[in-house]
Amino acid sequence: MNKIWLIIICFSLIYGLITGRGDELSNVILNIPKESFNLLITMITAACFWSGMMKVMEEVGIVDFIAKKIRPLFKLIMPNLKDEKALNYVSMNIAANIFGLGYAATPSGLKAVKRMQELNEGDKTEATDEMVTFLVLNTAGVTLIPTSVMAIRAGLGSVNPADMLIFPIIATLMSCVAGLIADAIFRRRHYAKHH
Amino acid sequence: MLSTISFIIVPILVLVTIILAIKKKVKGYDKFLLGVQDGMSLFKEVFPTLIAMVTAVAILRGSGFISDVGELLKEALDVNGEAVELVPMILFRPISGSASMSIFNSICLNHGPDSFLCRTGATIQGSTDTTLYVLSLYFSSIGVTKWKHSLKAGLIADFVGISIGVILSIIFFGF
Repeated sequence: MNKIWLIIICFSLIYGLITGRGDELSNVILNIPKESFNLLITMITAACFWSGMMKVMEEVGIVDFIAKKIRPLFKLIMPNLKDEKALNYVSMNIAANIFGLGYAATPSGLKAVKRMQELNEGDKTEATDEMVTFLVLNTAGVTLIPTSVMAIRAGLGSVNPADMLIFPIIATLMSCVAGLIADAIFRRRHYAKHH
Repeated sequence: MLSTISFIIVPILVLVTIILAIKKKVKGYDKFLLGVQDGMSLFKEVFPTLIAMVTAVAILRGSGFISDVGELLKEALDVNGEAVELVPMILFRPISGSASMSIFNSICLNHGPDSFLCRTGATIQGSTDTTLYVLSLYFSSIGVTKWKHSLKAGLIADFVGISIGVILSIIFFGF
């Protein structure tokens, strides 16, 4: 990430200056605090709210209920993850993602990787196989109902904001499958090289 | 039908939670506060990552690089002039959710919410998630610096999801 971050910034600055966008760049840089503030406030308050809601759901047994429903899927995808707590968090994260509740997914996702890190007996700076699989699934976006997209279309007066719904569902499922296959291939190659 | 379900799912979820809390005599309010506190402490750890991400993405956007690539592709592909508006949105998708969402918003605003571009954009938005953001947020929260192959696999997933989204839109909505 160090490399990616430095390269993005360095490249962008040089590119922007060469193409004569100095004023835009300086505007953008000066606006970083404001932009961060807006993002952080929305994100933290939303995640705190959902984290609170999730705690109540945990207490009344909804979390266990959902986790049990999705469990078989994870037995297939992450056969080595047996820890009850981690599986619960993973399930909650995926369930929230499915319904397009990105902000609700973040707290349980963070707890899931935290738990996986506690279980990690090897190098703590290196991702475990379970973390990689879980996050690849997250980057593929398991969103079956893209709530925010539909809200934008509904807000602009769409006749039927969900008319395209089947396409993102197909695309996201293919994206997940592709991610999981790529993950499995890279993992196998990684172990073949190291053992 | 599906849109109705997805719009009422949140209130229903909250309602079921509250009813169960009353039925099972759970101290809902106390638990809620506890959960919020949990959320706060989780975010204390990812705060620096978020600022770093905002910085990189803002500068990248300000440099105009991505819109220039869009222009180049427009000339190279010689496609229907409007469709190229989707290119910056696609390029931003794995890097910044809010940047690509705001492009999507303006596309729908300019062309109407039921236009080909807005529908295709919606399909692309829903087909994948912000890979770079997800990975840096989660990994930094637990101090993992070696990501292994997760970035490669994530980007492959993005590519497949977006391609299939575009292909499906072209087949079923047409230009």
